[in-house]
This record gives sequence, C-alpha cells and structure tokens, in this order.
Amino acid sequence: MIQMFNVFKNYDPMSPALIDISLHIRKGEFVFVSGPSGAGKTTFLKLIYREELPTRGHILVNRRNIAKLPPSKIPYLRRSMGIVFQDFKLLNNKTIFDNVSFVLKILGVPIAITKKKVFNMLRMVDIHHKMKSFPPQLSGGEQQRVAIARALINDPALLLADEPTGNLDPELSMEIMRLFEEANQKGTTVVVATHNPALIGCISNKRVIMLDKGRIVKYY
Amino acid sequence: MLRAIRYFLREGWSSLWHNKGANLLSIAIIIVSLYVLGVFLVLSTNFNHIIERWSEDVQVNIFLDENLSEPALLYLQERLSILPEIGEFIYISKQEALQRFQILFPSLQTLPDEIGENPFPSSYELKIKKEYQTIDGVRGLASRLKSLDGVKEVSYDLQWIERLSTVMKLLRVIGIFLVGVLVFSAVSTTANVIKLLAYARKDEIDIMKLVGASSWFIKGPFLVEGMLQGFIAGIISIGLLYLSYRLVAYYLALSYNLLFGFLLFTFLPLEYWLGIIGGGTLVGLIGSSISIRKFLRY
Repeated sequence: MIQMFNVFKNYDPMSPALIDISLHIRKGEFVFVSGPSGAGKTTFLKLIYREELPTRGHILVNRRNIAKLPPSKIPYLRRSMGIVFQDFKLLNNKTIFDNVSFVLKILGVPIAITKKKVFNMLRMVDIHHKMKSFPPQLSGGEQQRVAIARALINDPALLLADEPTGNLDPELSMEIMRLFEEANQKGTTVVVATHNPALIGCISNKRVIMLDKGRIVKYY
Repeated sequence: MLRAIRYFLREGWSSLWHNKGANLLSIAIIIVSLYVLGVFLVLSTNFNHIIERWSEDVQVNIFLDENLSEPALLYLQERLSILPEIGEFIYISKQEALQRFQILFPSLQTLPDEIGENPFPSSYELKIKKEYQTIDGVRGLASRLKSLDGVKEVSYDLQWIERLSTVMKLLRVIGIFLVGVLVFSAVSTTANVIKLLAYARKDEIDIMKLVGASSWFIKGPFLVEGMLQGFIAGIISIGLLYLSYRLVAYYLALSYNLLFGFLLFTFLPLEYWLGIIGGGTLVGLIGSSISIRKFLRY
C-alpha cells in the first residue's frame, strides 16, 4: 500500500524533518507511527497524502510514485484516503452534517444515500444530536469526532490519522480506536500517528514505527 | 454533472448574498461600464437609422452642356439606362426647369425676363436603386457620371449624411476606447473582489483540497459568483439605460419637438440587450477565473 525508499524531507537544511526513511506498509495493516513531539510524525503523514513532497527518495502509494503525480490527479489520490487532521480542519461555515457529507458530494453520491450514510456515521461517533450545529459551537472532542466521521464516511482504502484522540477522554479514545479497528477489519489500511503509548496498547494486531528526530529508531 | 451545477449555483448565490458589500462594489463597476457601452450603442444605432433614412431620399442631378446635340442627348440617355445604380430618370428641359423655378418662387417670376435669357440648364433627375444608396455608392456613381460626354455638372445632397457618418465614426472610436477602459476596470475589480473573497476563504479552499475536491469543484462556486455579479449588473444597466432613454426622449421631445423626436426614435433591439447581459456575465466570469487560479495550486 505504502512504500518509502530512502526518503528525506527538509523544511530547513539545518534541521531535517525526516532522514532516510525506508519502509513498506502492506494493504490491510494497522500501523502506529509513534514518537515524541517533533519526531516527524505529521510530516510522515503529509508525504503520504501529498501535502508535502520528499526532498529526496521515492514514495509509492498504491504502486504510484506520488512525487510524479500531476496536480490534476492529486484529488483522486486523496479521495481514496480518509484523513483525520490534528487540527481537525473542519469547514466552520458549514454544519456538522454538511462537513461530513461534503466528501460524498465530491464523489457524486446521491443525496438520499448521503443523508443515510452521514446520519449513521455521526451516530457511530456519537455526535448525531449536533448535526445541525456549526464546528465553532462544538468542543474540541466533539470536533475531533466530526473529523473522524468525515475521514471514515467514504470507506477509504487508507485511513491516516494524526493524533486522533488528542482531545478525547480515555473512554471515547478507546471507542474511536475500536472504530478504526472495525474499518481495518473491513479492509482499510490504517496509519495512526500518536505520541500516546496507551493508545498503541489497545490494538492487538498492529505494527509500530517509532520515530525520533526524523529517523526510524524502532520498527516492530 | 447536474448536481454539481446545482451545487455551484447554490454556493455561488449564497456567497454573493453573504458578501453583499464587496459584491455590490463589483456590480456597480460593471454597471457603469455596461451603461456607457449601452449609451454608445443607442447613439450609434439611432445615427445608423438616420443615415439609412436620409440615404433613401438621395437624388442625383446631372446638368447638361448648353449646346448638346440631339444624337448626343440620345446617346447619353442610353448610357444612363445601362448604369446599374440608376432606377429611373427623368429629363428636365431648360423650359421645364424655368417653369419649376417660377412655380417655386413666384415673386421672382420676372427674373429670367430681366436677365434676357433662360439661365437654367437642361438636366436629368436620377433615382438611385436602394442597394446603391450608400455614401460610397453615390460618390462612385457621381464621379463616373462626371466623365460622360455632355455632362457639365453632377450634384447630390450627401453632405449631411457624410458629416453624420464622420461623427458616427468618431463616436465609435471614442466609444470603443472608453468601453475598453471601463471593461478592463470592471474585469480587474471583479478579479480583486473575488480574490478578496477567496482569500477570506483560503482555509476553506485548503480543506476542500485536502479532502479530495477537484479544482473545478472548488472554483465552480466562485465562477458562478462572478457570473452572477455580471448578470445582475447587465440587467440593472439595461433598466437604467431604458430609463435614461425615456427621460432624454421626453425632455428633448418637449424642447426640440421635431429634430430630436426624430433622432431618438428607437431603443436597443433585443439582441443588444442579450449582448449586454451576456457581456456582463462574461466580464464576471473572466474576472473570477483570473483571481481564483492562484488559490488552486497544489
């Protein structure tokens, strides 16, 4: 699903964000990318969804070299993914329902199906009672759940989550991880970036990539 | 496809409504340019009508040499009959010309007797066929007539028409220049307004890109917003033009009953209305597509 070959990423030549990363994440795997703040976890994910380009090296997603992907094809790459951003990235002038349904609108899913799917998804993350609210009216945890609902709504082949439980209490965090696990069991490849070791412990069949100062320090 | 268009229209309209202030500025500038364009179109349409109408009455007179022999006159008559521009022609003898003069100016009836001879030359009055009733057509015919044997002088009353068409040419040049400047300013205002709106929604655009929206999906509502600005401006400017036309026609008819009543006899035809509204929509589309481009780079 994801292959990296000697990938380097420098925002600033003096302090590289990622150094010589080579790995292979197979289809259907559940992978944690772990490490302290500043280890390069977010950059790692950004390279996969082509928000950033590697300074050196090659990245293949679904066997396509994404550095060579023409700009017009980037939306299609992202439509095959669900992404949970650390800062949620919700559209503040749209309701919770519209935020989640937007992804299906892009895909041209009929309205009747969209309504049903979105309502079910919002119920799964326990935010359906606020579907007519706007993101600024919600707490951080609630917004995070909306972001997760949006990421899962189109049954993506690949789910990328950047600190997806950062604002959630332990109970809800477990619930969200169960959702990810469920998606994984349906065939979605899941990559979760987290600095929380407790979260890693709650998934049994997983791999962990430990990053520190941009390098892979442990891989199990 | 239809769903996408519906989405663009809904989003474009909603943004137009939510950002009334900035959009009104843009609409006002487009109105000004379309209004000026419309004024020039009304003027040139009416001048064209006048020229056409006056040209219909164009008559060419040729005055003949004094001592033209009978065979020469017959030959001339034959030549006139084969000229394609001439519809019909009548011969006015010296005597007939004198009689006409005496009818037209009864107080000067004795003048020829006082001079001692009939001073009027014999002539032909030529009616020009409709398709040749143009300034260039009449001028060309006159110069050919002048070269015929026995023709002393050719006269045609085209001075007014020539002057009017010069004025019209000038008006057209000024109009094109002025409308060009105004259209440019309308496009750049629309571009800047849409750029401001897009800038205010930059985060939103970035999020759309991150969740897989295509460029078209993102820019569609902005393009619709620009087009709506132009469309609304087009309709308002047609309304304003018509109002001004009625007002000017009314006041001029009061002051200079005949002349200007004649001058302002038509408003713009329907295809011009559509042209102005379409032009406004195009201005909005161009402006918005210029400005949104830079926000869509990956």
